[in-house]
Amino acid sequence: MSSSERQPHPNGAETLFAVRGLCRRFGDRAVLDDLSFDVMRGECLVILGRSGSGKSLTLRQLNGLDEADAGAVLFEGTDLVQLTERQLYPLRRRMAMQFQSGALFDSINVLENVAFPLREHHRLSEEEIRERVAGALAWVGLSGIEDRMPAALSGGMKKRVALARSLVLNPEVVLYDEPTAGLDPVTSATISSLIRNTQREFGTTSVVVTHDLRLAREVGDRVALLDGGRFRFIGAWEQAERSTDPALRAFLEVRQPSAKEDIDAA
Amino acid sequence: MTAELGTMKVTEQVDAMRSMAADPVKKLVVPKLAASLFMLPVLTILGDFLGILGGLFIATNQLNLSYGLYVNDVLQALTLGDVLNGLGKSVFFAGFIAVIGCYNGLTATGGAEGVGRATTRTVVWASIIVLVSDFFLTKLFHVLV
Repeated sequence: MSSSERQPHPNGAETLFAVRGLCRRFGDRAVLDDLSFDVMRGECLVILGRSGSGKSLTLRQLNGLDEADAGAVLFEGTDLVQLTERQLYPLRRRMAMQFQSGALFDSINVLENVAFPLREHHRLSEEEIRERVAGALAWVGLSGIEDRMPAALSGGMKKRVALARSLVLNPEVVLYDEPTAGLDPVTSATISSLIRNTQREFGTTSVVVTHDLRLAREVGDRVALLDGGRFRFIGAWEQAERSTDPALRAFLEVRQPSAKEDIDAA
Repeated sequence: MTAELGTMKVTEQVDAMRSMAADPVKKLVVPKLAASLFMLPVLTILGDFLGILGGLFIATNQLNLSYGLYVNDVLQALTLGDVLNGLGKSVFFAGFIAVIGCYNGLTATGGAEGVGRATTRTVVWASIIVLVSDFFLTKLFHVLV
């Protein structure tokens, strides 16, 4: 993969995603309740929130993997909620999603995993495919593991191979679901710098869902706190650090919220 | 089929495929359906052959019939219609089994336990559908062949 293939986007104010009044219910429980926010082209938005607050669900709405009960997810003005699975395909080719578990196909080796999107969407020679896979693996620091099966990789390696698979088509948007969950601090730091470098080098727009505050601080241009089905806070890190919102303070200072805050949050 | 697709579903591999703009039905279901439609008749031929061979073994060893008599009787009793009836039905059974197996796999939820439940559902439903459809298909093939 070469950086010359894509020009970095300036971290400007152009809206890429505009989410408006998004609702998603499971039975009586509204996990997303009138959620609205924008993602700007070229930025890295970090979504924080407690377990079960709907962070991953929010991420899955951005590429239409999950359906919405109400509201709109506009990607460059196109409402993903209204599109059929097949109509979503051209848009999904421009996005990549990094799943929490890596979600590598466990019946094929690393080469075939990373080559999957290339074989699916491009007519390339075997030599070109191998070259691009090698480039993507080199970018994540895992050269020479093409023949290994996913079962033979560590958790951190799986996530990096999945990142290589995500980046091999040079996506405009990368959606990361808990990219450092279950990893040791050193591997987490490697993943953090990969996310940051990818964004800087290729100008990708990133949305990162995480619990990991260190990752959030390192990669995020803006931070949002999902609570009660909508964002309790969204803004730059400087604003977040100055915010007096008790739920955000509790999250950032990693302390137990008071009983009243807990009730307010619920 | 259900266990494989169910595991792929609960470990987000199916979602990963969708997120890469690849159709899981085309990539995962169609090859399994095609393989079943092709291989189940082959398996039926193998089963038929082994059945006749088993009969030969019993006839010659337990019933003291001669090899020639057994083979002659088999060739006289067995008609082309019988063979085609069995092969035709196996194509339908293959379709039912593959569709039920893949459907339950791709709709599995709830981790390893969910995959187990989906697999059990497939065995139960495939068995019932094969038993029930066997009755109607036999009638149909008797009319046709």
